[in-house]
Parts: sequence; C-alpha cells; structure tokens
Amino acid sequence: MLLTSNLMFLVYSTLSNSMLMNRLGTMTMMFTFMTYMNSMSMVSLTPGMTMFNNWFKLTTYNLPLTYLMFGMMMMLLLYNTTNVKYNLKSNFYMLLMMSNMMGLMLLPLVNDLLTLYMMMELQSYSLYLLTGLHNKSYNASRASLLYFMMGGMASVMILMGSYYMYNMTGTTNLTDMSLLNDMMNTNNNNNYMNLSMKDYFDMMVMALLFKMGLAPLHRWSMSVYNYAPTYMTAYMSMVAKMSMGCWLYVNSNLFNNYMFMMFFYVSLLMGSYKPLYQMNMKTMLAYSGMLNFGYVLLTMMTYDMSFYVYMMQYVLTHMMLFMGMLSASEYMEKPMTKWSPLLYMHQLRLPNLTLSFMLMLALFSLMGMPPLPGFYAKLYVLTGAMQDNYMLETCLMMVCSVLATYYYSNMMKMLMTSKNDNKMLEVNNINSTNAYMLSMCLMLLLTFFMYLPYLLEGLYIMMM
Amino acid sequence: MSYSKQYEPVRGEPPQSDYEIIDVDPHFNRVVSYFRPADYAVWGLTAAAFPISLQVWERLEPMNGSFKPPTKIPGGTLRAATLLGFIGGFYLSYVNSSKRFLGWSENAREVKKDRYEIKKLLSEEKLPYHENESKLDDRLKDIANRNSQYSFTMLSVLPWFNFAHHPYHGVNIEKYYETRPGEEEWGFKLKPYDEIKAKYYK
Repeated sequence: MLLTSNLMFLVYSTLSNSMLMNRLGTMTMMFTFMTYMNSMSMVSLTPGMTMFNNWFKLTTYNLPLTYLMFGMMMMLLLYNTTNVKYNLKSNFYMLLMMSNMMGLMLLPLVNDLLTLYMMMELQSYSLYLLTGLHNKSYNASRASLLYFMMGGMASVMILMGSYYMYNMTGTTNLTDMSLLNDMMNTNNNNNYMNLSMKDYFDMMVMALLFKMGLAPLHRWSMSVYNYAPTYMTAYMSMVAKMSMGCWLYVNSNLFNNYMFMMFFYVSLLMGSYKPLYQMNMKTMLAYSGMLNFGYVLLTMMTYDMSFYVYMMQYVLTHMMLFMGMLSASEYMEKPMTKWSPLLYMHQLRLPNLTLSFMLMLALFSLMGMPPLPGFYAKLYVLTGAMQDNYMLETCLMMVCSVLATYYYSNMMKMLMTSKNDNKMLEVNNINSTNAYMLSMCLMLLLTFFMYLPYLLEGLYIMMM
Repeated sequence: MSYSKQYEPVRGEPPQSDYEIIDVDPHFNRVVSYFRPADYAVWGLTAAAFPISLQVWERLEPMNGSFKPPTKIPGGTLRAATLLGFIGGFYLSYVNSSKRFLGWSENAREVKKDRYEIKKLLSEEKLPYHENESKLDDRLKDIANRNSQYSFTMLSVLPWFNFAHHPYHGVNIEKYYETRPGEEEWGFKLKPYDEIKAKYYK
C-alpha cells in the first residue's frame, strides 16, 4: 500500500494543493496502519517467520515498535493537515514521508546485511530530503547538507562492516550468522584467530549509534535538530532513532555489550550535563532525546522488555512536548524565524495556561515523576538492570536523571510565569485538530498507570 | 536446473494457527477467487470511504481555517482518493483472504471449497497445484516460493504476490485422500498421488 500510494503521489502531488495532498496522505497512512494491524496474528507470529527469501524476519519482538512508529507518525501528520499561523506546506511532503515510512517499517525487520544497508538508505535519504524540504530557510538547507554528509559517513562504515562480516562468515544473512556465532561460542578450540564474530559487528554497531546521534558521536545531530524546522525536528529526532534502536534491540544477541556500554556512559553524562548551559529549547530537547536513548541502550544490554515500555512513554512524552511547542507557535508575536517560531526558553511565557500546564506535565514525565509514564518506564529499566547486576549503570542513571531534572525544571520555571491573556486567546487560537490531538495525548499521559498493567501483560505473553 | 531427490529443499513448519491450514503460499488467482462476498463489500466500501472522508474532513475542519465555510474539493483529488481507496480495498480483501488460507481466521467455507477443488484435480489425474503448467525450473520455483511466502503480511508496505505454480504449499496431500462427512456425494475417485506425480515427473 505504501509503495503503491507513493507511486500515485508522485503523479498527483504536482496536480493538487498541498493541504489536500497532506490530508489524502494522512488518510492513506491511517488505512495502511489498519491493513497492517489486520494482517498480523499474534498467535502465529510466535516464534516468527522469515519473508522475502530470508531478507526480513517478522517476530513478536519487532512488531510492537512498528505499531508505535505508525501511531506516532499519524499524530505528526495530522499537524500538517490544518491551517496554522506559521504555515509550512509543501506538495512533496507526503511523497517523502511515504518513502521514509517504508524504510522505517522495514528496518526493524531486516535479517540480512544487504537489506540493512538498503533500508537504512531508504529511510536516511528521505530524511535528508525532508530536512531540506523548506530550502528557503538557510538553516534547513544547512541541516540537510550536514545530515547528508554525516549520514554518508555512517553508511560507509556500515558497508565496511558488512564487508568484514562477509569476509569472515561467507554470508550476509543474520540467521546464519547467529547460528555460526553459537557454534563458535560452544566450541572454543575452533575460535577463528581468537576473534569472535561479535567483534566484527562493533564497527557496524558504532555506525548505527552514530546515525542515531548518540554521544560521543553526537555533535552533528544536535546541530541538525536545531537547524531544521520545528515540525521536522519533532519527526526526525524520533523515528530514525526508534527504528535503528529496534533493529539493534532485536538483534542484540549478535553484538558485544562494550560498544553499547561506552555510548551509554557518554550519552548519559553529555545528555544531562550539556543542556544545563543552554537557552535554546530545541537543543535542550535534542540533548534530552540523547539522554533518553542512553537509558534505552541499557535495556538493549539487558535485553529486557522494559525497552518497549520506555519507548512507549518516550514517544508519548516527546509527542506532547513537540505538539505543545508547535501549538504554542500560534501565540508567538515575534517569532525567531517562521520555520522555528518558538526557539528560546524565554518565549515559554505563554498566554494560555492550559497549554503551559500540559507542557509542564510532559516535562514532569521526562523527569520521572509518578504517576506519569516517565516514572514507570524508568522504574522498569532500573529493575531490569539491577536484576542483571548492572549496579554502577543503575547508579549513574539515577544521578543523571537528577541532573537532568535541573534543566527540565528550568523550562518549567519559565512556563510557570504564564498568564491567561484573553485578548491574545481571542485573536489566535489553537485549531481544533491540534487541540484534539493534544488533549488525546494528555489523556494517554495521565491514564498511563491505568492501562500499563494490560500493556505489560500483553508484552509478557508476546515475549514468552 | 532441476532438483534430484537428494536435493529437495527443506521447508520450515508453517506458523501455528487456530483453524485448519489450506495453503501457505496460494497462487494470486486462487486468493482472489476465494474472496467472500464480505471481502467484495469491504473493497467497495473502502473505495467509497476515501473520497467521502475527504469531504467530511473538509466539513469538520475547513482548509481555510476553523469556522470558515468549507471549500469545494477538486474533482481530480476526489478521483485520486477513489483510486487509492480502490487499490487499498483490494489489498485489505487480499489480506483477509490470505489469512483464511493460513487458518488465521475462520475458514470453514474455504476448507470445503479447497477440498472439492483439489479432490477434483486428483480424480482427473492432474497435479493439485498445477506445477506442470509453470515454465520455471525447479530452482526458480523454489525461489519464487521463498520470495512470496507470507508476503501478504507486508502488503501494507510493499505489494508482492505469488504468480508461480510451485509445489511448496505446506500441506500434506494425504489429507485429501480421507473422506470427511458430507464429501461422499461429490463422488470423486482419486488416483494415488504417487502415480499422478510419476506421470508428470519423468
């Protein structure tokens, strides 16, 4: 469906106006999601199956995240189907979004190094183009070019890693590799050059973590997220990390933990320390994303199902924060630029108390205050890590989240100075679609603790 | 390239299912011919739902902004929406039908239809999956199957159908030689499968 509609949009995007195209595309995505959910059967997906000549594998491990990505995408797409104050519309938005979605959906299912490269490029190229979609903005073009160059570097590393893997194992298939890996581990006498296969994966894992923008290879991603238009930042700072993270998680039995460990420590320290000196909201949120994906790395090391809980809460909180920021742009009388009207922390003095309350709740969730989702997700990550005896990591995680609380509360301090300004509210208002989405996010955030037991039960059954 | 007996490819067990498995990799024509009236209804409804939802959306949230009069949607866009709905509806029906082939959803009607068809072919001394009609050699049949098996689960991302008559269908032909209640009246006299196979595979 995505491929077919992508081909159709190639023709129709040039004929119709952009908002109609966005609406049609959003509808198509919704329908695609429905078809996707309809074509799965949880009972039959245990233990899973391979598809397209062993190029992809579909299991209960990678399925939940593809659902989550679809859901998140839909919310962000809806923002572009309405009339907003700082209108950024393009006919080609949907077209690129669809090709990006294809890459995102297929990347977590990848079971072969060649398809890994192909899917990676499918989603990266469309993201480079999406970043530079509004090329009237000097910053957006700069972000796009930077993203392209840095993404290219990582791609080269992935190719190089694939070459070494193929050279050693004679295969590009991950199922074959894991079989080989098991054989080599059980039979120590047969250890090829004293190197296990896992060591050869290090280069590839590093390239993927580079693409995810985790510290110490993070400087480029901070600039890219900062320069891109806000609604694009909301999208790309999340999805690329999510799909790559899911692939790493599903195949984590193939990798060494050392690489994850290094990125975990540095990401946590950088993500909690650097934003303390920032005034720029988008940079702060980019660092916060890095911090959160640092936590996620810990779940990859422990191979714990708290990965899914963390992802769920992070998607929800991230959506709420960015949707809140985008809606707050309606009140910006003196925007920084029309592409990112709300950029600095001092602009958070909003004339709408409800909106600032919502943003505060999202920040509370990021801090990890009960009963918000952030608390439960951190709780599960911590208990999972402690069960596997990752004591130092657990302690560091606590310290870093306390440090991060400082800059979240700094944002909150600004939000607390908000006052309802009736004159302003009469002139500019958040349109009904966005208001509806925000309220839906808020309900999901507030009631997370109610539906969490059901989610956990479902996850437990799926992972058994 | 043809496979000898020693090199016959091995296939994994089909996924577990709540209902009886009919065919793990049915031919495209077979999937479409097993559509139920409900599938055609879904197809039609989806084709209609796309342009209608576009209209309703414009009523609820006009493009010019909230509380403004709704604008007229150009015919070209409506036609594009209908086309998208038509294709989408077909995919959805195809998925539903494929799920019944794998026994993922209720399939009593299809099991009966399949048993009738295969029994008929066996009584006419024809191969049940028309392998002999395919121009592909053994290796390509093998690959065709590996490419298209379970591809319907990803139909929402990229379309991929089985257009090859290959012998890999994940069921034991012996089950068609049993007579289940109500099948006596069909009056088929089945030839042993080995004899039929010997006729085509020389």
